Amino acid sequence: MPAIKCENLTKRYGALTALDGLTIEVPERSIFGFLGPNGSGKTTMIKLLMGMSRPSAGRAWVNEKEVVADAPEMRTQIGYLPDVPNFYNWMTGGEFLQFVGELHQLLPADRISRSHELLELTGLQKAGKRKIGGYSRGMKQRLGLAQALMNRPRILFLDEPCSALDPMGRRDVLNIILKLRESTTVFMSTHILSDVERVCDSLAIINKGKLVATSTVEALHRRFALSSFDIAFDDDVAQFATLLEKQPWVQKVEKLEINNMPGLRVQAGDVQTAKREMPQLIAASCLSLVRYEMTMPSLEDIFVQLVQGEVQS
Amino acid sequence: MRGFSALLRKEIKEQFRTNKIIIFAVVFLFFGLSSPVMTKYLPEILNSLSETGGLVIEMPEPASSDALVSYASNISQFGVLMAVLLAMGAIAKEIESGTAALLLSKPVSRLSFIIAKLVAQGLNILLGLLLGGLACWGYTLIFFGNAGALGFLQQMLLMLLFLLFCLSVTLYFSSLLKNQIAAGGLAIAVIIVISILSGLPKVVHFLPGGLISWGNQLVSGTSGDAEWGALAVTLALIVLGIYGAWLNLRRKEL
Repeated sequence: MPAIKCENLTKRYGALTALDGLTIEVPERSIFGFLGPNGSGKTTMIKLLMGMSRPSAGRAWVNEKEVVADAPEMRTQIGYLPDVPNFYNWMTGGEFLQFVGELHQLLPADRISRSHELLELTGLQKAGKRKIGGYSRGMKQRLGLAQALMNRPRILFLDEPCSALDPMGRRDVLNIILKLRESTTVFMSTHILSDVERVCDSLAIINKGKLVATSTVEALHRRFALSSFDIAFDDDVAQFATLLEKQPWVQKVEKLEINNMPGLRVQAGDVQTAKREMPQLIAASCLSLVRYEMTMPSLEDIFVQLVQGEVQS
Repeated sequence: MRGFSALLRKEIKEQFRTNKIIIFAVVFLFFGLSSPVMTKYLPEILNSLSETGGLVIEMPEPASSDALVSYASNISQFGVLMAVLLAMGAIAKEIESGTAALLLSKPVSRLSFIIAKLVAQGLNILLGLLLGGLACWGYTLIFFGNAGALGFLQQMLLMLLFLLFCLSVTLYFSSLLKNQIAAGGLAIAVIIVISILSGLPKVVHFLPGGLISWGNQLVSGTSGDAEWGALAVTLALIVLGIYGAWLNLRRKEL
C-alpha cells in the first residue's frame, strides 16, 4: 500500500473547481514534489489529505487509513507545515514545541530533548527563548518545520516549505528534508522547480486543479530531453535556420546565443529522422560547426511547456 | 476528548500571559468594592443633592443584603459583557489566523479544543467572582456590621452558572461566524432576548434569568421557590451551546 493515495479527489467551491479528479499514489519513504503555479490547487490538495477540508468527490488514504474529518488518532504519525504558519505570539518558540510534544503525548524528558534538537536543527537555538510575536516570517517558517517534525512523523506534509526563506535558509531546509528520506514520506508542494530537482524522487504537476503529469524527475527529463538539439556555428545562422524550418521533421527553430556564438535550438517533431538528417544538412551548409548536442531541458522548461498545454500528457 | 489536558494547560497559561486574568480580577474587584460603598452612601448622596434642590427623597435605610444584591446586579450586566468579550474571538480568531489549523492537525479532538476554552475561561470568571465576592462581602461586613455568607455563596455559584451559559452561547457563535465582532454581537443579542423573556412571570422559571432572581432571594432571605427548572435549563443550554459549537467546528474547512 502506498503511503499516500487518492482516487478521483475533487474539491469544488460553488462554481469553482479547485481540484478536478486527482488520482495519485506516493510510495513509502519517498520525497514527492507537488508542483503547480499559484492558485493551481496545491494547498487545497494538502488540506484534503490532512482531513481539514472535505472532498466534493473521491477518496484519499494516508498511512493506510482513509482520510476523514476530525480523526485525531490518524494524526499521531503525521506532520504538517501550513503554507503560512501562525502561532501564539505570547509563547516562546521552545514553549510551542513543548506544547506540540504534549499534544502528541511525548514523555516530558523526550519533549524537552526533542524540542532542543529541533530548535538546533532549524537554527532557532537562541530565538527559541524569545516570544514568537517578535519572529520574522522566515523564523516562523523554520519553527513551522520544527513543530511538524516533533512527533518523528512517518508522513510529512509541507506546503511551500521554502517560500519565505532566504537562500541560506532554503538550503538548510532542503538539507533537512533530504535527511528525512530514510524514515519519512514527504509530500511537498512548491512552485520552486530547483527545489524539486534537488530533493524530490518523483513529482506530480497540476494546473488549474487538473493533473498534468506524474512521473519521476529523471523520467520526465528523459521524456523531454531527446527532442531538442542545440547547434552553434562560427558564422551567421539565418539562412540555415530558414532551411531547417522547411524540413517536415522540424517543429520549431529558435535563434539563441550559445557561449557567445550564434546558435539555434531545434525542436524536432520526428527525433529519429532529425538525428539522421541534421548532420547531413549541416555538412551541406558549409558552415563551420562548433557545437552540436541533444539538450536536456531544465525542469522549468518542462513545467512551462506542460502548464501551457504545449505538450499533451 | 483527546489532547484535553494539554489544551487546557495552554488555555489557562494564555489567560495569564495575555493579562485577561488580571483584567477580570480588576473589574470584578472594582464592583466588589464599589457595590457596598455605593449602597451605603447613595441615599446620603441623593439626600445632600436633593437638599440643595429643595426636593426631598425618602429612601429606606439600606440593608447589608442590598449591598450583596447590588454586586450581583452589577456582575449580571458587566460580567456578562466581559464574558462575551472573552469568548467571542476564542474560536473565530484562531480559525482566521490559522492557529486552529495548526493545532487541529495534531492528534487533538475538536471537542477538546472547545471544552478547554470553556473551562479555562470559566476558571478565569470564577477567580474574578471569588475575588470580587470576597471584597464585596468584606466591605459589606465593615460598612453594615453583618453580611450573610451562605446565601451570598449560593448566589455566586448561580451567577457562575449564568456566566458559563453566556460563554457557551458566545463560543457557539464564535465557531459559527468568521468575524469575532459579529459573533459577540449575536451572542449579546441572544442573551438580551433571553433576559427580556425572563421578565415574563411564568417563563422565568425555565430560563437562565431565573438563576439571578433565585440568587437575590437567597441573599435577602425573602420567600420564594427554588428555581430548579431554570437551573436545569441553564445547564442544558451550556451543553447545547458546546455541542452546537462542536458541530460547527466539525463542518468548518480549516
